[in-house]
Amino acid sequence: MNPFSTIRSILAEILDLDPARITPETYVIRTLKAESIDLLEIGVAMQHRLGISVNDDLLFLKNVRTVLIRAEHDGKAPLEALKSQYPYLPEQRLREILDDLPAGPALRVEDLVAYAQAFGQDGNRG
Amino acid sequence: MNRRVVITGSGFVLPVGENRDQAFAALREPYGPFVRSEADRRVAVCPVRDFDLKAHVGRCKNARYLTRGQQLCLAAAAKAVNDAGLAPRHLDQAGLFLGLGPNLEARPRDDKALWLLDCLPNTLTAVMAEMLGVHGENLTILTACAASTQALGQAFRAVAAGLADVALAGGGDSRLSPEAVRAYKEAGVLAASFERPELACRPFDQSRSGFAIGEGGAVFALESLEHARTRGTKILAEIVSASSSLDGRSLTGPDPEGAAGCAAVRRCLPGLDDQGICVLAHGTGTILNDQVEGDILARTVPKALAVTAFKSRIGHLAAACGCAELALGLVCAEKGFFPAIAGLENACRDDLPLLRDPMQLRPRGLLVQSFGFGGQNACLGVKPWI
Repeated sequence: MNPFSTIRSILAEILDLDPARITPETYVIRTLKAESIDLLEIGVAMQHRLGISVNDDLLFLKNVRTVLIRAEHDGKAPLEALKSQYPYLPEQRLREILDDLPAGPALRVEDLVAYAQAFGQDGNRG
Repeated sequence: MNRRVVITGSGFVLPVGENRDQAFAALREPYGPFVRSEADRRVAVCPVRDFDLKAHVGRCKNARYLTRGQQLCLAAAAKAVNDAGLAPRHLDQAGLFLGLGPNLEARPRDDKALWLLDCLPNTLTAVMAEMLGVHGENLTILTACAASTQALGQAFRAVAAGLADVALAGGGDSRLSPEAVRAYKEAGVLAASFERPELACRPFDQSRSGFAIGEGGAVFALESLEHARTRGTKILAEIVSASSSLDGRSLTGPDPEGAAGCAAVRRCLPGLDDQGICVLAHGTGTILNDQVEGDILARTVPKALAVTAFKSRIGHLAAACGCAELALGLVCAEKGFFPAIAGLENACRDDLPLLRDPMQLRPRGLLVQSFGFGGQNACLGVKPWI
């Protein structure tokens, strides 16, 4: 089952928003204005409602900039560094994140969905 | 500095309505809107119908950490700001003084990361500060049923002392949940064996047996008189005195001697004309409260014009009771009409002007008193602005 609808309802509930505003392409931080305590709640709610184990740093792409700085320091290609850190995100999505980063936090609802699909209990990697 | 302090806004969400006209119309009815509790049919409650926080404040994601009582307080605060016509520039350095109750439903949760915030009473203070842009002197007061009365008293002192030109003060509470109903019932303070829920709570009646549980929020905007005049805003009342005291006796019932309660009342009397007072009694309808409170009143304000007890009409709002009752008292004072104490048939004493019938009355002073669990006493002297 695609976890999008569950994730949408979690976001709508925690951020007190109309679910109709939330699509897979919606930015969680940039557009929905989720703050750090909201992310904490979203992580716990996903864990609880989807029965998955959540690593907040991974789920919310918190370390993207650190990963890229380290990659530059180590002389690694940025895309390769992101791939190894976020293997559950498609390469196309990682390219978008790289392009998008200067405009602010790149986290989108679809990234949460991808995480839930990759780390769901049923092992469904969609 | 000892500045005069006035009330320039009143916001409330109560079982009898959420504006002056609704409340006044409801107070002209013979009884309050009591029903039997869903949690326990032998308990009378007075709920706020169809409360929707969003209708008052719009989107509020942090409402997830607020109790219903706190949400009622937040709605009341937004209404008070609106009623006073306060703009963000007036609120930036304003004080915030809230009287709140415990969250009896809070417990560790698997589905909520910050359930700790459910347990912290100042979570509402923080949410309100962010929403209204209030950043000044503040206190979150948890002195049981004296809490909001004391909060208003502390706000009065802060404005009088020049610590703030503007302050919001009030409280909110709701104890209608199954946990709260059970807690009160086991404490033995609820009205029992009533035939109709509107006749459960009968303050100062010989057949009283306890209180009925209400819920709601009431918040006032306070300003120094000078600030209010400079702004050219309407003035509802002046706060002239505030006091608090501790019985230091029983954890639940009042000290039968009432010494500390009496002292608190006396400290509020200077500034009030003792022949023009309407007492907004705590009047819970418990055997002991009304007996001790009656004794205190007979000793302190023998010449009062009238003694009323709004708990007979909205139930006991716990931490919020004093401010809720003052809000209704100001509505009645403005209209020149005070309702009878509902259900008062055979008064427990004849040496007090207990309101057995509605009365055309324009009191020059209101004496608010709240006597809470823990022997917490708080009083206020308030003069309607005429």
